[in-house]
Amino acid sequence: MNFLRLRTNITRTILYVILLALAISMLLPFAWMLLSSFKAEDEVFTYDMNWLPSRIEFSGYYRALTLQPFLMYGMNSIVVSAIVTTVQVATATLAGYAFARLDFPGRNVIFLIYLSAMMIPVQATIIPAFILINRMGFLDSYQGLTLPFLATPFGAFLMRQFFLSMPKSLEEAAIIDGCSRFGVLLKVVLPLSKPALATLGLFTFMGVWNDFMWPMIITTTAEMRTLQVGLALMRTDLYPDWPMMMAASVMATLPVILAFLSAQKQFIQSLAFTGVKY
Amino acid sequence: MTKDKTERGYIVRKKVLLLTLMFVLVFAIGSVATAQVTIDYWHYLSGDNSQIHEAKVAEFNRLHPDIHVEVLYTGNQFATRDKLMVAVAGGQPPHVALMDQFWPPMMVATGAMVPLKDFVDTDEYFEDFTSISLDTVTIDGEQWTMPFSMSNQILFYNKDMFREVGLDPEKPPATWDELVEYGKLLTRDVDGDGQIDEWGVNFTTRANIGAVYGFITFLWQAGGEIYNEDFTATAFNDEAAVEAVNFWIDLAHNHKILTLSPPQEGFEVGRIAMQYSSTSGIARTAEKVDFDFGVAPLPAHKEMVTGVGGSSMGIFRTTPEKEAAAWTFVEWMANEENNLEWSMATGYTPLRKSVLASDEYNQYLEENPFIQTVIKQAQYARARPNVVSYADVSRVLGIAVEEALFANVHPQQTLDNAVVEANGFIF
Repeated sequence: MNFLRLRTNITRTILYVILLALAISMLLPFAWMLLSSFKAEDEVFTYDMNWLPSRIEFSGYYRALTLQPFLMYGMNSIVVSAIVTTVQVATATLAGYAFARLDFPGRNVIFLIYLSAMMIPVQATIIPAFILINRMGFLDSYQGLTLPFLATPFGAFLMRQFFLSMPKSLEEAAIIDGCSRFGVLLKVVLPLSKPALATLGLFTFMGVWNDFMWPMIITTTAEMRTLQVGLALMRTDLYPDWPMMMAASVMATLPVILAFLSAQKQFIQSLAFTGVKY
Repeated sequence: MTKDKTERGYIVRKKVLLLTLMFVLVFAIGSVATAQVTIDYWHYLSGDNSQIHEAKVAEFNRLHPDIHVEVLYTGNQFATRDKLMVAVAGGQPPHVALMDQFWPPMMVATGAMVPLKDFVDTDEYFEDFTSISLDTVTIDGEQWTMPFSMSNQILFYNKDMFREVGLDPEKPPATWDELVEYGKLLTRDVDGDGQIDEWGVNFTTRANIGAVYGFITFLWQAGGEIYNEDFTATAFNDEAAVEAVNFWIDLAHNHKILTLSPPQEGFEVGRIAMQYSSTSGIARTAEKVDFDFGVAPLPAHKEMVTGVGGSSMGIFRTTPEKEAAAWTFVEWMANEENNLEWSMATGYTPLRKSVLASDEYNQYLEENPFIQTVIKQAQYARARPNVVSYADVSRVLGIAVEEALFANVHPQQTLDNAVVEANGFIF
């Protein structure tokens, strides 16, 4: 018995050491980013690598906020991410529920088309999407920035899989009691779907927040640029202003970290869910 | 009563007249305002160069009340190229764009650009331009974009480090052999921990399309060529090309004076003694470093060659009115006065013979010995081939060189394969 317990303890310790090392290696770039954002320009790259700034400088933050309309970029990112996340979660829920529970002709064929659409890489659709948005007259507008992402096959797929895993009997009971389909979705299914909603919401938010290619291409004035485009524009050819870039990166990363922390509980629960179910 | 009426009628008529006049006036002003042509211009210059350039755009707008250039910085070369490609494919290009030296063939192939002969008699107009500046914009004998700025590859070196190892700081390496010889002395483990702290030489060893430009210069120096004479096939698998690849392998793996994972800004902090760089960076590097900084022509081998970098301005097909405004703009940017001003403000090599011969420029040369080195070397400059397949061919070449350098694939073998693959892009 003791020997067994010792063995599990040793395996656990080894596992924890490995996990800890992995966690630290994931955190190191973030630490470097944070520390460099407080450095003077000539302290970022030096003969010997220095992690700590010799004195705390906020000038990087000042330059990031004043040399370009950084707050405006941030507002654009917030507006775009909020619209896309809200609408996409709604469309994904409706589509996912239809695929999971409603019986309609061609359901499986349409779902297959959805799945195959997921396999198409973004690079292949970016020019057609650009042409489409251009014809609609939505270049350089919030419509153009958000429209392509309001409904995605991935969202519908994720929600369908989740709904399939829920016991049907709950919904049947509600229907027998006279509840409409929509009422079932709203009052019975959704309250039980928080983990899935949080997961999809987080994925969507992170995806849109970090998206660079589409906003870069679709915007043609500084007024419509998002944070990621603004960050990329800081990268100059010879000597980039590293403290400014790192300060801007810190500020651009914060909302994602906050979003993750706030959805963390639900998120981990849903990952555990998926682990058990599929 | 009637008198009153007529009087009122008179007043009403007067008011109507006044209103009509005001309308006419407003429309007249309005039509003057709409007579101004607005054109969009995208560029990728950053830092000081960007500020100087955008100030020039503002000056152009002041001097040309009938044209308004809406300038937009679209990120570095790579971001700008991607954006431009999609915009062109989507039928929504800017009216003018700044283009890196190897883009014009690709852009011309899309049919989206206007050749300069549509605006001017090119033979006569370009008489004042140096032949190398025209090489960068000429495709099949026609000029498609307006040369704007021109740089060359050049060697930066740290004179203090030369002194520390007993080398003459006024005698930078002139040949590949000297580069190796000096590099061996300059590569040192300073603190004695068994790790190399200071490296003799550094240059970009990556395969991406912009960076392979570095290797091509070595290829030319060894006497090799990318294409055969009539551009019907690639030719970078002959003895000279293999020698160039082997030289890189020797520097990295045999002499160990070139590290494949160089420290970031290693030259600037004093961990790299000799750095292959661009003439466009001289002023900024001289300002940044706090050691005795030197600039030298690239070490030569069988040939003395340096590569040409830089940019030109392309006009996209839109409406005749906008195209004409675009031409006025790009022509103004490259005129004698502005080319002189831009060359002296940035250190870029002048495009025009008249600028090179001007008193002002020669005065500037006297005050800037680094730029003298640049101009002396400029006669050995070569532009990359302006053919449509270059983008793909150079990518294939770059990957082959990377395989030889990083994955120890035999140079002859990888170049042979690459030539076959690259020939598939020539039509």
